[in-house]
Amino acid sequence: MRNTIKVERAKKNITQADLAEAIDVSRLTIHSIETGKFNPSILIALKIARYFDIPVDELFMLEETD
Amino acid sequence: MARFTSLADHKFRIFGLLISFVAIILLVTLHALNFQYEEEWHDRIFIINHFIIVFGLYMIMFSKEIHDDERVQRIRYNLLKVNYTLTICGIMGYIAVTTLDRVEFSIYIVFYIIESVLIVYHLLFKYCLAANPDWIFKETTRNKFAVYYVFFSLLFLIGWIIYVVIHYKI
Repeated sequence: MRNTIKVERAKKNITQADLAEAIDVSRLTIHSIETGKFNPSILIALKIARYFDIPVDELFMLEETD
Repeated sequence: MARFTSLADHKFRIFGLLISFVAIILLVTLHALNFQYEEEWHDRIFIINHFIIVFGLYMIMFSKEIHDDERVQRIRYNLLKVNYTLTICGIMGYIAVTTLDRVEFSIYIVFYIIESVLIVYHLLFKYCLAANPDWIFKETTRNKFAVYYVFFSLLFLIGWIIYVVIHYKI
């Protein structure tokens, strides 16, 4: 699964730490989601989507191998 | 509504660290001084000491991190599986060795196995928190060789029972 969190962050000009604080997770968690190492739960995915005010499927996308 | 959790507060980590550290220092000192209180108390003192070390290490293990989010929970869950497997395999392996090779059974070795695995768990946990290795987050799929593991385990168990029955004329 790939995601566009980094792009959305750049649009809003916020750091990983800002996003982490907003959705109440650690910065390393945001980093591992961004790099695709860790797939978050629906709850965190929804929180991130709400923060950026975009639908979840625009933030997280399935890949061919998924 | 507050969710139930079996994990203690973060401050218990410091208590656990303190307890196990003091107990380890005490154990090393008792060994170094070749401690003898009374004949029958020798083992009891050491066993109680090991209990305290294990208790302290478990206290650290079941304490929350400062930011205990789902990444930390996933790391903890996966490492607990590793810890559980290593402990069972270690103790079973040791019991098998003492049965087959006539090595004298010692409860201290069991304690050392548990303590070593717990220390390895803590080191791995810290490493995974800091380094985010890929393998810890890897989604597990069904292993097609799983049936062979079960088959060979059962074969070993049956062979071992036959050996014990023949050898010890049970």
